Amino acid sequence: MIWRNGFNFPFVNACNSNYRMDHYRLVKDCLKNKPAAQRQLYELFAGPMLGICYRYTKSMTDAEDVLQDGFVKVFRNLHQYKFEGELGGWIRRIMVTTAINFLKKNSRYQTELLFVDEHLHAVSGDDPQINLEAKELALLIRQLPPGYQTIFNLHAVEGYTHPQIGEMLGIQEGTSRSQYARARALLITWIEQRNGDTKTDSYARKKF
Amino acid sequence: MQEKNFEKDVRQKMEELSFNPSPPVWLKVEERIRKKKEKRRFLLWLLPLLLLTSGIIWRTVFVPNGSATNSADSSTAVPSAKKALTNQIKMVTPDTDKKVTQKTIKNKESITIKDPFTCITTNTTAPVPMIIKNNKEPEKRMETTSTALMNEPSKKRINDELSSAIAQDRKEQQITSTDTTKANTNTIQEDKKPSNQVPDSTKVKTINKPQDTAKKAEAVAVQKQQTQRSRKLKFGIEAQLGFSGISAGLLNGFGQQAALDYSAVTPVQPSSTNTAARLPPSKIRRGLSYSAGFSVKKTAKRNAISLGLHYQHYSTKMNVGNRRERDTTLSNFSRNAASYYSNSNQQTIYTNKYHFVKLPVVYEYQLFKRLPLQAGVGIALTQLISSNALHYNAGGNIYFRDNTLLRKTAVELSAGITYKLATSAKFSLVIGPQLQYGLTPVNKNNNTGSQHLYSLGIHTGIQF
Repeated sequence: MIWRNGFNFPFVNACNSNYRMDHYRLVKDCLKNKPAAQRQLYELFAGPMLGICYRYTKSMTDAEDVLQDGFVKVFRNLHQYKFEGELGGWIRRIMVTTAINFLKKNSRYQTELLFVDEHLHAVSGDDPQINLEAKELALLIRQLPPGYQTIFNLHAVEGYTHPQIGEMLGIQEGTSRSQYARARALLITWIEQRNGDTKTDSYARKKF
Repeated sequence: MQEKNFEKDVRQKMEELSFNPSPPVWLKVEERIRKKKEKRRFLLWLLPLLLLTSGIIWRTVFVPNGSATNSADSSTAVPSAKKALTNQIKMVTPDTDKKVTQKTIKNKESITIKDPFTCITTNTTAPVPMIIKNNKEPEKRMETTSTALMNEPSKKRINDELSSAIAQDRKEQQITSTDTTKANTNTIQEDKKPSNQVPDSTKVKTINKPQDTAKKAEAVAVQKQQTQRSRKLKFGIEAQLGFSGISAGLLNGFGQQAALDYSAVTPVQPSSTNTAARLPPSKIRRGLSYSAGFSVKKTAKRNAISLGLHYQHYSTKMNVGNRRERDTTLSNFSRNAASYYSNSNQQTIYTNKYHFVKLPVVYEYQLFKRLPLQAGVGIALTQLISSNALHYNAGGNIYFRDNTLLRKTAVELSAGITYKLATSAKFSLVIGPQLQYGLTPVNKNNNTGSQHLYSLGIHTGIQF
């Protein structure tokens, strides 16, 4: 897959001139408030966007709430889209910002979304192989404390730098680096544990 | 930090993550975006409704019509005519030494005078009070007291008698009350009919010849009324000078607000090349505001309503960094801006200017009867003509200009107190403090936060 500007979608890679024209036509029709076009836009991007919202929240209900708020913002601000980047990327950025705002405003996350200034933690050199399905990995990410979870998503998945993350969350760059390092270490531990469990299961099934 | 395989693998896996949202999600999204459009449609109807309501209030309350809906105004016209006519009647009234019997006939007043010395009975009619149209009081006074004397002479004869009586009455205005006998005699000579022949209840409509004196009086009264009306309608030139700022909402007070982050609607691609020092977004400080325009005001007793057309200027200040010409950073999210300002050092003071045209409708009430102090509240429809306001993007750490992010049509509330400094017949000067507050935010996207423009200043005006 081509990694472009920090964001990538499988269906984006399949784009051709017709597809780009379809996007253009789709956006124009949505701006004319055509219900069919709006529904089509939603169905085109709702699945992956819900995946993004799922990673930032702790429940599918919260994820769907974020998805709803995010798409409302998309339709209300669609006139801001200048066709100067991928539509999916533009929607994704709105969704990420909506998720972060949701976490900040939701009382269930506020107490847990603490970004404590810690001593710098260097990122470990561990580079394990991930033998998990996407959903399993997402579940592991969601088990991180909300602060770690958010920073890990923003840096590892979305590709924001630590200064940008600091700006978005109102924290120091050092705090972002430190919390990311801890999140990464924790996640690797769980992944390796899972990998070990998988090996044990596979050995157990083998007939000697 | 070099990107390791772990991060790449995580990213790759997460790109595959996709779920099917439940059906109610789309239904709620659709409901919410439809509601927003209905609100916009409502606002579009608000202006004509506002103008229509103001017009109706203006017309029904402050403008008296011919049928005298405003009893205070209508009553001034008729009594003044009545007074003039009554004066004429009084002048015709015979001397008190003479025996006078007064018979009131329908729509006419007949005076029978019997000279005790000569025993000559004379009869004269004073049809002047009949000219008072639509006024039941004189008619009531002129109810027939003696029907036995009423015959039915020809209408032509009656008209002749009446017209001659009117002519005579005009002459008699210059004669003193002691000379009424002579006048009556003249009347008698002209009157060919016996005294017992009382004209029928001739209504005003059958009098063909104009009754100049009554009409004159009525014309004077109408003219006076028009003058009064025109005095109640005042034209004015107004101006205001003060300071303006941005508020996050009435409940949040009028303290300095930080520039809003428009990353959500103008998202910048995450970039590791932006190494400029990051400062928090600049606070938006108050700037100069002023307005000028003209208005038309209608007053009625202690109430007044005015409609105006003003130009309004708001400004705020913020600290920005160096100005840079359009480059790839800006082209990521703004097609129109030719340049932008960094947020690196915040050493440049930038003035955000907003130019509006507005249609204010203001209601004023004089608080005290003898003190020309008025309290006013108003609502205005404003239209943004132009602006050079900057918007902040945290992702790019820059300030840029994009008027598509600003709301073009808005509603503004105003409240103030005015005091009449100098008053003459021709003009009056008013002055007082006034607060204006934007009911609708100046920014379109409320998800980033609300920015309401407000201004506080001294309002002055000259009313003609």
